[in-house]
Amino acid sequence: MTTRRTFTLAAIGTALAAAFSVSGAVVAFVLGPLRRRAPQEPVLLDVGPASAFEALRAGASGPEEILVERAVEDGYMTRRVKERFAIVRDGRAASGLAALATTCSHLGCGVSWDQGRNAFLCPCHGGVYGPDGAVLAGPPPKPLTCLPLVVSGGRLQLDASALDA
Amino acid sequence: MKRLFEFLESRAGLTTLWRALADEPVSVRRAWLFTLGSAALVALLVQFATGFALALAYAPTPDHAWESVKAIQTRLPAGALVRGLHHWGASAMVLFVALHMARTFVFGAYRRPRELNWLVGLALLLLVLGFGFTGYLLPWDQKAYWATVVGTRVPAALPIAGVAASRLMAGGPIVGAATLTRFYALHVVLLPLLTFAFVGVHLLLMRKHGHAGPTDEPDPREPFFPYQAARDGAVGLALVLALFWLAARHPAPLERLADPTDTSYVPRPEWYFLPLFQLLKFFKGPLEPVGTAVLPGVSMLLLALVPWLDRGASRRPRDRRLVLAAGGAGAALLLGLLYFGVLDTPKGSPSGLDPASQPPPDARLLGGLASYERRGCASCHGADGRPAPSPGANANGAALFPLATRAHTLTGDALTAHVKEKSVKAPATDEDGENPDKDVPSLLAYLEALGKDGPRFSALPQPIRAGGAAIDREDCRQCHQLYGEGGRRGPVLAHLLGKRDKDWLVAHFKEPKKLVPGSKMPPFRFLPDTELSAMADYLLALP
Repeated sequence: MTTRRTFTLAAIGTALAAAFSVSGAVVAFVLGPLRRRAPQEPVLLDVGPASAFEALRAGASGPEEILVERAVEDGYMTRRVKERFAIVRDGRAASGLAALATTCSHLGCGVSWDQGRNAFLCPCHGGVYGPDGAVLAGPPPKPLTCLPLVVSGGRLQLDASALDA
Repeated sequence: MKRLFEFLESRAGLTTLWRALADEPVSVRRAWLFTLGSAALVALLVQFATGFALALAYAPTPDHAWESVKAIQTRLPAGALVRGLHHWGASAMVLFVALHMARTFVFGAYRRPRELNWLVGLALLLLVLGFGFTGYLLPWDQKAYWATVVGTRVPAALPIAGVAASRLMAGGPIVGAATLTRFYALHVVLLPLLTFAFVGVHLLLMRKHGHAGPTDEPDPREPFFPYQAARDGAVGLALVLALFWLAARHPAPLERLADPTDTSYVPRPEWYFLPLFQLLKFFKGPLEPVGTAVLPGVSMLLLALVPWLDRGASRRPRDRRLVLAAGGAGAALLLGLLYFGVLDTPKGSPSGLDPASQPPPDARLLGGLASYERRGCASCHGADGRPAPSPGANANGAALFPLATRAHTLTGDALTAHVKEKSVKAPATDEDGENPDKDVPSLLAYLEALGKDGPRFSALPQPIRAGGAAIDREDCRQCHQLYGEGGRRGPVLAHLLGKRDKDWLVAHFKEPKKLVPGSKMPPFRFLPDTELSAMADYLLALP
């Protein structure tokens, strides 16, 4: 039997269902960036001739900053962005070198090499990293992200597949 | 007229509504302290109006955001004024909301039955801060980019959903195109709607329970109109005038285009986020969430619970010492963090070019300025053609000749002869046997500009001056057009920002063929690196 009460309940239920459907679609859209793509095959970025870093490998000079360009999925488009890395010595790697991302692990400011203090310094909250990227002082919770460098055909290549993109 | 009012009253009840608004009884004592809320409302209206105007010309994409803001700032009619009002209006919003809240706190006006309105006010404070945070990404300059990198990373250290929250804020793994559209949508759609609704509720609740008044008796009342309306109006007018003055005298800053690879930039947020930024320095490693979430969260929670924590009968400060002391301590902490945050902020950003202020002058004028300085013209005519202290004579007793904004007595060949004859120092150090006076045409162009509108180039950033002078000296115009003048063999020197970066330009000066195969441009390896870098600065600042 139709009563005022059942009508009210039905009306509220229908309105809620409609509202939830619309909000569901909107929320799914807003949460879109949470979906991560499966890790792809190694992304190798060319850094330059391996011979250019001979002095660094031999320990005769400090870290060298380089810019590499890579494609990044950015919202509605794929952009080519430049990123700054510091090439440092790494005895464990076959190439003798590794690349440190110059992004502070604390809040993402750009760190730069300070020859005088023999450390990477962050200008934001005072993070300090050693030449191997390990935290020496300040708030950073993790060392600088370290990416492997491989030598192939005389060229030094940066394996950027570990980078979030 | 009377019939119009009768019509409006009978159809819309406007007169009744007006009476209800105008006759609201408000306190006579402490009346000026009750204008803070309406001042915040005035600032909000300024933000709505100027924000609408800015949205007409703004493009929320990394490729065009900076350019569109720069166009607003430098080219569009009244653009600098509107943007200045919006920029300073944002600070005024935060300031007056905070003052209004402090007044409410000290007066205990959040007490029963006004608890709910206190919460609505708190929500409005958060909305205002949300406007600030989403708003200053939009110009996509260095400050915008780096402040947002830090801001979107703040939640990342939180347990469980931290990384997800950070990704959601940025719209992806990096601050980029998706971040810009997200922040834009929040800033111009969601936040204004919420703010509008909450302000409505705030005013309705205020009317429902009436105005709380001062903390003790007596509390004589008078109708809102015209008494309090006049005070509110006076404060609102003063605020608007102050905003106009600020917008005119201190234009909204626009730094260099966002450059994610520039690790020399020292990011600092707007003043109202500086206490939080400073706080983050004290919590290391796993303790980081204490600074990013626990302390701010607990403070907000305590503020929200204040009406239930402080529930005595009397609102007089002397009966609420504990609450006021706690509030005072909180405020002192906040101001202290702000103070130390300001102390820690380096003076003048290292990438101190401010392309928004003005496009750089023609390179020829800067070449002329360099030659003016090198030839020692300033010893008689003063820097910028304005002789310094005692007009009439310098230390040697020679007459001083101001050149700025006045007709020159010498022209043509006589002027050239004067320049060659009177130059204090040798014009140029010339090894390759070039004409030592080849700088004279540029110098004459500079003198002519001085005579017309007396530009003060000495205030320009050093790289711009040096770069422009070098471009003039090396005669880049033989092949390149600059400000619509020059050869057509090479590309036009304009709109380089966003297309090229400094590293590229400097590398290109040194070895053009390496970067542009088949380029006919001669290499400029012989110039010092500082000069090449200054030339790149100058070129990137060109409109």
